Amino acid sequence: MSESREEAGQDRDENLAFFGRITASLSHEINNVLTIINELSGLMGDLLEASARGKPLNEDKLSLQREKISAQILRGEKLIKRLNRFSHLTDSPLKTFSLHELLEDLASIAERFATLKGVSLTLTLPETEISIENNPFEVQKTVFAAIDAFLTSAASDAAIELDYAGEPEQAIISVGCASGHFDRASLALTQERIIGFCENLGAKTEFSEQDKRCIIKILLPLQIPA
Amino acid sequence: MSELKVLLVDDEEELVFTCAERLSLRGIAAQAATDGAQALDAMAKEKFDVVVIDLKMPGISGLAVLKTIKRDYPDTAVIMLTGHGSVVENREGLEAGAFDYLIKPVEINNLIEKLKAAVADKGSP
Repeated sequence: MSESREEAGQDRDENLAFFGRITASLSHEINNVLTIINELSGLMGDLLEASARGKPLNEDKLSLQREKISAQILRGEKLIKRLNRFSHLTDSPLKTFSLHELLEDLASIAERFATLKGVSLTLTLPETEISIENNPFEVQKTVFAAIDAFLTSAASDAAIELDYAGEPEQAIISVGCASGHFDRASLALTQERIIGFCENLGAKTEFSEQDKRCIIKILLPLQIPA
Repeated sequence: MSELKVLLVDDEEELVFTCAERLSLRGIAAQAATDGAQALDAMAKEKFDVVVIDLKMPGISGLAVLKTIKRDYPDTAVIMLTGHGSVVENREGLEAGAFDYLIKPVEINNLIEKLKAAVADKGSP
């Protein structure tokens, strides 16, 4: 197999793995919502059956279950919209999109992975929203890889910070974590992978340490050269 | 059969407390915990016949709690709660000594059948 076909195969495998991991996580969360609604509606049924058997009906309690179901439905709607937006990232390999929206969605998706590890993930957005022209799916995959690079070996009290800034001709997305809260050897293993993802985006990568924080920077052009 | 004592463990608070209430309405003494540490605290204070535990939780994982229970409270049966597609985790849990697993969402009568089967299994040679 030629090197370019092999690379294309690896890219496809990476894309599928990312797509599968995110859709599995979001569908797991949606299933949790349905499970909760199942229990809440079941309890409403239990209360009504007890009332039919002569037990006084606690209307306030019944009403509370209805409110809780409504809250879960809202939660489910958000998750489904997030899943839908994620799925549609693959619609076009090149488009202009807002980094605000992309990173907000990514932070929401990544938060579950962070929470499962007991790690906090915070997103800080600049006041001025920036749009770039690139492959939105590949950008999200790359930033997630940077977050995951810390998450993989993060201690349970680690804090990962995600932010971006605009400069002339480029946008810089930064993913940082306090040194000592993750395993450097593990991070080093993922550097080549992140660099490879960035090359596909026409982006540069910087790995640095500042103020006892390790930072991965993804420097994206605002537009892909024609 | 003396009253069954069950501990439900899941990080989804609404789920675990509502399920506990529904079991209580059916004559099963059920308590709820929202993470592994709370679950182990509860077990240190009283004896449970069965623990029903979500495998995916922040902090101490469900699998780690299962292993601790099987080591420190061998008389307590454990049933795993899992999402769809967690085949590998289900197998790991069964190998670690779980009685069985249930896939969310769980119908309450199925849960009760499984609880009774877990207790009956303890009595088997």
